[in-house]
Amino acid sequence: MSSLSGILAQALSIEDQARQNSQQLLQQEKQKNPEIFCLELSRLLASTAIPEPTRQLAGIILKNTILNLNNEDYLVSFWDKVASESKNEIRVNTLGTLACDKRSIRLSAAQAVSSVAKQDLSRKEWGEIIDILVANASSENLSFREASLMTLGYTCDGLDTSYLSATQVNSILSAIALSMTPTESNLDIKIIAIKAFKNSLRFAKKNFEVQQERDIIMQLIIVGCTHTNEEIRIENFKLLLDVVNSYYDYMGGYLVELGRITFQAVRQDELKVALLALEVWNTLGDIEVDRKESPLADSPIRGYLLTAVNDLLVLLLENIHRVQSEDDEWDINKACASVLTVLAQVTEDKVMNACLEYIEKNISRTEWQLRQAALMVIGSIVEGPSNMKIVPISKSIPLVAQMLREENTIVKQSAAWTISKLATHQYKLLTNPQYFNQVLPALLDSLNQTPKIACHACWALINLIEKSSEIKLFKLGIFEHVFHGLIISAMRTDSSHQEHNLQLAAYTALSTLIQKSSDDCLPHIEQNITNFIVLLKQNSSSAKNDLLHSSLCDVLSSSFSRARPGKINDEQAKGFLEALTEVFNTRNGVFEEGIMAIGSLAGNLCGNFVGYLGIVGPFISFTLEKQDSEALCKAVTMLIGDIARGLGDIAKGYVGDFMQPLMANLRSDKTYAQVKVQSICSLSDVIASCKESTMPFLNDLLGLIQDAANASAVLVKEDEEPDLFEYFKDLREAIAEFYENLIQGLSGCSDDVVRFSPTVVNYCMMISQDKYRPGFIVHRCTLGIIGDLCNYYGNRVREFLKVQAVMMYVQKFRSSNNLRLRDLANWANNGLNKI
Amino acid sequence: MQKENKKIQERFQKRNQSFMSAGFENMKKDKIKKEIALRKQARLERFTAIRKVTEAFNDLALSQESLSESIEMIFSSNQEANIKGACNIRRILSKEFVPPTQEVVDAGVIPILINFIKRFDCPQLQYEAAWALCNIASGEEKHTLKIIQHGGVPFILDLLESPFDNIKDQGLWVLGNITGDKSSYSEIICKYDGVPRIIKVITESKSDSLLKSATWALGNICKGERAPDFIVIKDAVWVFCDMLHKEDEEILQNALWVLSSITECSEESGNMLITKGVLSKIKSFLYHKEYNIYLPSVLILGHISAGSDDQTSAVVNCGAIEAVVPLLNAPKKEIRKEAAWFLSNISAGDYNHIQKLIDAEVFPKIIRMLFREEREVQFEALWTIVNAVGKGNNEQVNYLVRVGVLSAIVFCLSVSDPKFLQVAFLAIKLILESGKQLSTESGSNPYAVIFEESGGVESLENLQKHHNYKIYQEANNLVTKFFGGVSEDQDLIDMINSP
Repeated sequence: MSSLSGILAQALSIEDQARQNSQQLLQQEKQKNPEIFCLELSRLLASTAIPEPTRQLAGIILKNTILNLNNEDYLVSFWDKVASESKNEIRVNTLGTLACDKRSIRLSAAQAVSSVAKQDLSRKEWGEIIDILVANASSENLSFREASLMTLGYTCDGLDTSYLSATQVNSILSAIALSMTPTESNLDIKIIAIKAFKNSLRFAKKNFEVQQERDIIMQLIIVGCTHTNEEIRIENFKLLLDVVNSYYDYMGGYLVELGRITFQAVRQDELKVALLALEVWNTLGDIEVDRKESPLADSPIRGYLLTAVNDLLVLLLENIHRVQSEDDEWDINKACASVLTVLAQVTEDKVMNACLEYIEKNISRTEWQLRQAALMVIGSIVEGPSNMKIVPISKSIPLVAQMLREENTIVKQSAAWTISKLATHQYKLLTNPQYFNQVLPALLDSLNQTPKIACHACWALINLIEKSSEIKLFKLGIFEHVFHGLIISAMRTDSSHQEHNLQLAAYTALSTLIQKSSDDCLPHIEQNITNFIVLLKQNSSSAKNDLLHSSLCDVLSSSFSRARPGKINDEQAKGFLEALTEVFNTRNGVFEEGIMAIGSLAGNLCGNFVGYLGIVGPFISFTLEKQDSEALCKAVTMLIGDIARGLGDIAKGYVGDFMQPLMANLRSDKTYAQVKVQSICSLSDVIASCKESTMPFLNDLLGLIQDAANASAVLVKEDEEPDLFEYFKDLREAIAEFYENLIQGLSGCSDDVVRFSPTVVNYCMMISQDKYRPGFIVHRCTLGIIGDLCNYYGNRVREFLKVQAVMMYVQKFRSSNNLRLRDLANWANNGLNKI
Repeated sequence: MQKENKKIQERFQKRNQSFMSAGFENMKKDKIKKEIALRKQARLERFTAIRKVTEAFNDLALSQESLSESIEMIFSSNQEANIKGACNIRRILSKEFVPPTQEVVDAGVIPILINFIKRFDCPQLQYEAAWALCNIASGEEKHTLKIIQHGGVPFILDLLESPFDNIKDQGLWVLGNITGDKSSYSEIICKYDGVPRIIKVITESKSDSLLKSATWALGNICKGERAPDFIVIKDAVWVFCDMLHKEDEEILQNALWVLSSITECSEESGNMLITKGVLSKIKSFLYHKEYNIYLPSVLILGHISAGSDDQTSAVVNCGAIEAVVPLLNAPKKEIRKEAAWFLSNISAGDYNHIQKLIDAEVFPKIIRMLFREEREVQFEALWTIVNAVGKGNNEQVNYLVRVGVLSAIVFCLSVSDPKFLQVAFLAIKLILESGKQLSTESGSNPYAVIFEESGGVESLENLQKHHNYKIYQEANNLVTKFFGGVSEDQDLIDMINSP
């Protein structure tokens, strides 16, 4: 025992070496025998003979060990193996120390007791600890009360709710609540009680269901939120936030009270409290937005925001101009805008009249705070209200554009934010020619402002380009200016902040511009390809330019897909692939954007790509052999399909080169799951191009797909395991598409197709059952396969197609509300009627 | 305390970042998704080109105006522009592979279109707007829901009052789409008297195409898992019954399929068909060459005979048994299977029904099927036997034994499918139970003797090596119970009854 105490003392030494030694020794002791280790620590904690810091440390290490906070394998469920005498002694030692006269030791003991209690309660042991703590929580002795409340709080924190009985929960909550009442005058005790209550909130579900009990709890908190002491108010508001979040459904009866205390806090209280008060409404709003977006029968929107909308509007518009922080921190200004955003999403048109009035009144005021506030209001209400109600905002757009050029950085920045919000949610207001002519030059100017402002401008441009692609707003005449502006921004060196990386934003905008601009810009796009290739080449040996490499490849990928056939010459293709090879070598591996760009190049060159197979092949096999990144393996696997699709008929001559790696992917148990799915997708492309040349591989291939098909029949519940559900869904879709391509591709090899088609039809019919939650693709493939088989093979497939299941399936989709499936089902039905 | 403060600070910091920043976070992930979607689209386009699928809406003349221009047009105050805008929107929605329905809905078009369909003064506008709504309703369920939420249903139903057939037709298409394959909005349509109003169109209609659309829409309302209360669709059932006398095969098919779906879910509907006297008519379709007419017909008769004993009697009395028996020799496996399924529903009735089957000499045929049919058909035949020995009286069971049912079942024991075997076990048990009552004074069960002589015990003993534990157990129990040893009767029954 004394030796452990020595080691602990060493751990508090000022000498580095001594501390490190002590760490090692402690670890050894712990590993040697966790039971003895804990036992001795508990004795040290309880021993009055040793110094205070040592005892304190003993308690902490004891807690860490019992809860296995360092996640050590040998400590998993070690509590099961501890002898009951030892457990008893540890309980007695730690519990006894709660009454220690030294505060630091009491607090340490509180943690130790709660750690033991957590382990015990989860094993249905030491149930009486709750009674002991509850009794002590109302003790006359203040220190004892404090330690007991704290222990209760710690014990509840993270404990599974099933481990405490209703009686236990009730006694805990009553004990804690007692110290939260106005009659409790000791502030420290009060704060500890509030925090303990927060920790036990999860257990209070039953209590919140009963109105009488709920009333008592809510009254306690609401009164606490107006306490004379700021810290008490803050803690009560934090507790209130948790309550609102966990028990949203039960807040209906307290809206008036909540309104009173939160409004008072925003108007009169300290910044900290005011922000918490706004956060209450933000939290309610977040919940209502969530429930609106994914409606579930048992969690309806309770309409709290709707009830409060008019009062809230008054409050928010009265306070939104309060910019408290120059350095971009959360303040009343932003918090009001944030609440307004959820309010608009939930109550839609109801916010518009007051907001429009506010905007009109303040957007050209001389006080910059009011102008900025008007901007924030615009940016906050663009999502939710109906178009007709939003339209009047458009007359403010010229003023917003003007403010992009203001002196004041805060105003300028807010204007950029507002424009990017408008572009995201109400792009039509900006693309209206009347305003677009003012907005676009202002946005291009903003590209030269601070990185943050320029980033917002890029984001606005990305949205405008993407959403207006149909009306071809970005056509020759405008294209060059935007292109130029973005190139300059992309080259800027003053921005490397992670959150607003201007380089990334600018290249992304460029890539979007190239993808979506009108056809008259194509010559311009084609001319710039060489420049981007040169840039890639220049930076190819610099290992630190990861982001630049991927951005350039992204831009090139878009350019290759846009360029007209024949517009990319051999020199460019070769130059690009050589530069990319160098980048791959520098980075010691491939990256997704590079691989995608090769795919786009193959799509553009079609048959001419055949000359570059020799350069590209090694990357593909190298990456697949290494199998060290799922994303990369997936990308190169996709590339195999892209190349096969690009080459078309020519692919037939290389059928083995395409099949081999894809089949190897399917065969190996080391292949990532996503890569297997992608392999099946790419096989669809290979078969579509190589057709009957795939015959030599057919038997093996069918076997591999059959294995995948068997694996794909697992039923997984979407709400329980969403990722796995998604995976099996993707797998089934990939297999269905594969079969569809197989039957099309091998339409010249009738005997073989007729032989395996029953398997195909059976599989498709199986995965089309509702229990697999099939989507458009599965139904499309199934109906398509049925129709194709009828049309190609007629009576030879009659036996397994003219069956009840198939007929009823097709019949069902003849009245589908999906037009495409309905057309396809009618077509398949005609096929069936013919045989 | 430290931790606490940090938590709330982090919350505000997170808000600050997400609230004030542009949405670049998910861009890369979205990009890969887009790439994959593009490839799927490419494959789809290739197939559509190869297959030459005729599109339901082949009015695909390219519109000059873009979607956003068209949307602006319908917001305009000019009626001509409204018509053109609505027309463009419905064209764009039916032309594109991934129709921009979300965009159209987001633009707030639905309430405008609903206003347009109220315009009885301008039929052309009504027509185009209804068509556009139809295409919106044919998209995702959430879009369909929007039309309902904007209160569109009563006005869509009003279209049925239009003097113009093409507008009525368009209204029916919207209604049919609203209740399409998965949605559950029949209720709201019924709330506004949708069923009687569509029926009115059907009874008054002079054109076949209108009749087809109306039948289709009414069918969509009445069938499906969440069909409205039977009381509401009662009148529709009359209408569908009337259609059974139509010449047009498409209308006939549709009516039969809807009735098949209704009779499957509601026993009351069976009574209506009986009262209406259409069973004989349906029976006459059993020989129809078109599978889409034969199949729903046999399903309807099967569903009804699975109902109350009175309903079974009605089916039997219309001569369905005699009509179905020849189908047991049909060249197509599917037809034989459904015929056997139908008979198994009859044999699940009471002993009168079983007697009818005996009188029609069904069982010798069924027993032959047990020897030589393909598995699925064999299975239905076996059920016909099981139901008969379960519901039949001692004499009837005796008859079955005399015509050789036991050796046929013994033959079935060579199958290894556990589900099949369990049904066979049930048959054996029921027959041997019945035999117990005929036991001679020496205590021997005459059926057990026959069973043993047919090699049944040997087969059961073999099955005790079956890899499926349940099969092993049940085979074991049968041997113990009927061929010596102590019996554990209740266990066996429990086991056989449990799925």
